[in-house]
Amino acid sequence: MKESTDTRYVYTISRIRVIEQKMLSPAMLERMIEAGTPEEALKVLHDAGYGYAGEGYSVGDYERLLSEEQEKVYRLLMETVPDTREFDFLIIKNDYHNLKVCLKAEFSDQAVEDAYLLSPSLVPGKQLMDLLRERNFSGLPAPMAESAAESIEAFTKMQDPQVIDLILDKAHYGHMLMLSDGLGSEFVSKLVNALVDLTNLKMLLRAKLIKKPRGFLESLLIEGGSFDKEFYHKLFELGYDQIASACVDTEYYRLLTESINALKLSGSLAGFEKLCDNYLVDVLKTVKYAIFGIEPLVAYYLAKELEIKNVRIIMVGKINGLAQYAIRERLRETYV
Amino acid sequence: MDNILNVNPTRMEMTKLKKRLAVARRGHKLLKDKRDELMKIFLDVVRRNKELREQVEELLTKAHQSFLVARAVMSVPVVEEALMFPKQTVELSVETANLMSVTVPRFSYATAVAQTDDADSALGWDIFPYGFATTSGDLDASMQILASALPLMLELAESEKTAQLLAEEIEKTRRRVNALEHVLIPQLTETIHYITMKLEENERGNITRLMKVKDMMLEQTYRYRERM
Repeated sequence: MKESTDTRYVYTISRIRVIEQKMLSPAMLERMIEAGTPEEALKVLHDAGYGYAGEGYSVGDYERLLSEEQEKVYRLLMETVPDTREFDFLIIKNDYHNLKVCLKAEFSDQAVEDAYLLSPSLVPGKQLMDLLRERNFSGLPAPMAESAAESIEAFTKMQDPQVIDLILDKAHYGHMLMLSDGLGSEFVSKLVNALVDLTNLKMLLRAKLIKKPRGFLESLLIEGGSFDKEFYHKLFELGYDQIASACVDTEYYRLLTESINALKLSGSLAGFEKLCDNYLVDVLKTVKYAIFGIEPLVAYYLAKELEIKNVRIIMVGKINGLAQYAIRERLRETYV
Repeated sequence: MDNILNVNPTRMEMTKLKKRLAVARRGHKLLKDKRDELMKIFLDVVRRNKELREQVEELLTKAHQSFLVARAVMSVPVVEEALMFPKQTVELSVETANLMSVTVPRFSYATAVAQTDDADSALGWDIFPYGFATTSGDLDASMQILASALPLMLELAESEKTAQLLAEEIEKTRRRVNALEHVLIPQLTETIHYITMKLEENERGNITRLMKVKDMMLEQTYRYRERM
């Protein structure tokens, strides 16, 4: 891969090099797993500097703690990088989530609860709510506005809440591809491509698992990524074993073989999802030591996201009294 | 003597009591039959109930396990968003059925999905109200298990309520059977016995009295004593 020579990010990168040291190491995660109580596990997070200083978090607040941690990372990036727009592709996920929440709430006559909205987002949740209520889409980025209008129309026609998600998910990935291509970074394109491919594969396997007709796949698949739709349609017709061998020339061959074995043993896609995250961590690690360019920052943001996922797995496990081996089994690879 | 009703020992009373005894005996027999039949039904219901409960508990445990895994890899807002607007509505109606004169509930349910246009029916009908890109596969498993558990749960609710109502009825019937068997019937028989005794006693008193009067009358007429 071509190394970036963009020096605009040197300051942020050096700051992140320091903060990276504080990321949860496998040993710290292990300490959390071995903690006797959820409180002890939470204490490890405190020691690692999670959340805002001076605030007491109880075990029940762990979800808020985690979202604040993610926000903290984003805020750090925003404060130090020259062009904040370049990180939009990382957070539009939250915008589309908020859009779904607002639309579903409106169509089912519910109030939008603040706790369901995610931040950071391009358009703050509250503002989005108001814009949608007035059907004023001009304040939204074009792909969002289009997909919002499309999903409203589809829902009025079909009265099926699933179509809202289907349309917005597609739009989300489309939007993300568009923004990331604009960055001109080989790494980011590769990363987003991998995200699209893995999401498509995940949806394909899920649709197969719940025995959906082929037509349904069409409504799921995201355009872009390394393969065309025909390829997925072909895979959909194959048996699980053949799916892996059909992908023998792709990057995902090992991942698919392993996860299909796990799928056959447990009947669950948990193994596949874990391996996908591990795959992404491996991609992120390739730019861990880069000195220039946007790449290490993107990697750090996503690594933090995965770290938070790991923490959530442990906390949910601890709170619900899951056995240690069961937690360990689900844990993703760490970035550090 | 405490088991005797407070009645006049007359023939009239006795006939009345005898009638009551006959009714009580018949009632006792009927109630006993009812109790036995109820018991039989109750045992069937309880057996089915146990079966259902085991099935439902197993399914719910599985559903919770899958949900826990899904919950572990998805944040609360994402889970909430996925599930906030259900696709399917369930209409539950309750009717009643008569089981040995016990009114028991009968649930029936109908699921309704929003009307879709023909062109889109290729998507296939399902229970999942969310998209697949941001959610975890274990959520599907959890939803599927829960969906399959719903009819069983309704049946369980039905049979559990039935068992409860039957148990109450059995309890009531048993109390009635016992009251008849151990209180009313002995009371009546003993009272009848008492009246019979009393009447016989009176009869004997009468005879003795008559014999005495006869003696006295003979004495008056023939003056036996003076002649001796």
